[in-house]
Amino acid sequence: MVKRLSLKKSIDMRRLFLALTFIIFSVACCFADDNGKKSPEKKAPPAVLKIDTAQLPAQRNFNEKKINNYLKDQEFVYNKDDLPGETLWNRFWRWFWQMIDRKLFAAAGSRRFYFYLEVAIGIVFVLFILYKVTGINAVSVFRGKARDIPFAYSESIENIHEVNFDAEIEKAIAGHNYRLAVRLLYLYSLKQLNDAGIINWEAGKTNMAYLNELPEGERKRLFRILTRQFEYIWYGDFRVDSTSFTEIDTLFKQFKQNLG
Amino acid sequence: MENEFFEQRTDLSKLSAAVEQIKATLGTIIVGQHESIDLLIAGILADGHILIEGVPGVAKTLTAKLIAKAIDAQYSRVQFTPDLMPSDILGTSIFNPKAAEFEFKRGPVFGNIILIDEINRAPAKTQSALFEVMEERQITIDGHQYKMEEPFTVLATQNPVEHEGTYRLPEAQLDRFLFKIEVKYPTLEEEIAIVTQQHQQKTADQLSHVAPVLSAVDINELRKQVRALHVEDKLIEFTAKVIHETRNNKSLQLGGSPRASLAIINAAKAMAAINGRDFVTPDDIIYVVPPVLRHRIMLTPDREMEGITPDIVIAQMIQKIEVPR
Repeated sequence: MVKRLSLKKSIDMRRLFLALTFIIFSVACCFADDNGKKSPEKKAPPAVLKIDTAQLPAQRNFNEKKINNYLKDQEFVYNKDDLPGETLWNRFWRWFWQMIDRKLFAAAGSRRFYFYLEVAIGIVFVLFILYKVTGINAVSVFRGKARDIPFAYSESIENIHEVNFDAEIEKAIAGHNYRLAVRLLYLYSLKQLNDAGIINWEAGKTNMAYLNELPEGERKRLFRILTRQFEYIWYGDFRVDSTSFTEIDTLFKQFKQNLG
Repeated sequence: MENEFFEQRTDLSKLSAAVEQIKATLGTIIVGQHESIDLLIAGILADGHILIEGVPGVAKTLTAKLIAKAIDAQYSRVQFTPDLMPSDILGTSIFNPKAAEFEFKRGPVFGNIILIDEINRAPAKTQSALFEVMEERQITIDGHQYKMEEPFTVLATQNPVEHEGTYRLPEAQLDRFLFKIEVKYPTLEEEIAIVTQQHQQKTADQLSHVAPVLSAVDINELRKQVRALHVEDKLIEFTAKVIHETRNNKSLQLGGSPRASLAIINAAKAMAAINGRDFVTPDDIIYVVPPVLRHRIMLTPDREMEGITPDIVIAQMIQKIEVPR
């Protein structure tokens, strides 16, 4: 810490010394200049133009032979295809760009190149306008349907369109399996709603989603109660006996009547 | 009328009352954000840590602070900065010359509700300090284990990763958050209400008068109650299918972990309790899947370039998985 402080101090001192030296020399120069002006001028003798009579040395020229020898010397040929340390990859790209350069500029001429360039820019511009106007997703053009994510799924529950609900419900009631009977009644009401075009049956939809598809009214109120009861029995594992089942069944019948 | 056939098996009256009170308290200060508030409450009931993400100025920190204020428990706040060290969070051993021994000075992580503001401003080194404490509710320093007191909940806020000066959180840490709640911009009506409220200087006064609704003991009791709720086997299978699909989905390069399956079930139970039910329905599961999964899954680079978000993939995935009925 102390060392750092002393170092800082010495740097500051050096700066101060340099600044003072600069100021002193500047002031001295100014005074020196002023003194020069004030001193009396001495009259110089008139200037006499002297003619240079010395002989010019013989003019030297480049030795053509030596220049030609240098030109032939391989050490001075820089435009070589094989450069020391150049990789095969870099050599390929150099060859490639040389080819492009020769074809576009040397062979066909730069005018033709600019003509092609203008045509290309024009085509790109027209395509851009079309892209903007039609609203095509450029990525999906090359990738197909980008947002359609492939997914394999298999339906494990009964297809509600193939189940004979009346017979299955009868069977469940006869077996005192009221839990299953409620489930079948609920699935049956979903099928009826779907057949009537009120809801759109999809295996991935929840009961709440179907409820939200129903327009407000008595039908929705009844369906909400049925949904609640089904959920309590099926997901909540609430026990249902013959008495409570009779009440639930009555509600399902009311709902069926409401559907017409 | 709707539930007249069934007797309540679990008394959720205390929980419902507390939830209503918290919502009412927050509703007086926070305009809108109903879904975020529901998820925050569900997260606390499900004994999970919550990550709140949003652009600057959408009241992320205020919401987290209010939730913390509504619970009468030890609250501590850590502002994450790029130069924060793990010992700044966990604590450190300091030599006591009088006693001639090292003493452990506890860091701010020792508390019940820990608010970590701008969590993604600290680099991975600091983030990794939270791994043990977030999962195991303990820290190990100098060979000693220090257990956290229950309830222990981390509420963290962060700016989107694209923003200047932010780091992406390590996957291992993200997986430890139950939810990632995305706070969106308010609607026009909500914006007007916010400005009006602020203009009338209501917010500052109300903020100082927020009274705790629940104690730490209450929270522990409610959490026990939530854990005991009924989940049908079919719904557990449904949850497992959802997570399994994330691991096989071609749009994802990283799917959900088994911790994600557990998180969905726990969060769905909390949602069921908030809705006054002692059992979980598919709707509860589907509701919590996006906030549980959005920070755990990782899109493939091409999907990301197409502008697809994790929420889009999750929605498409759920749509195609059959709801048990």
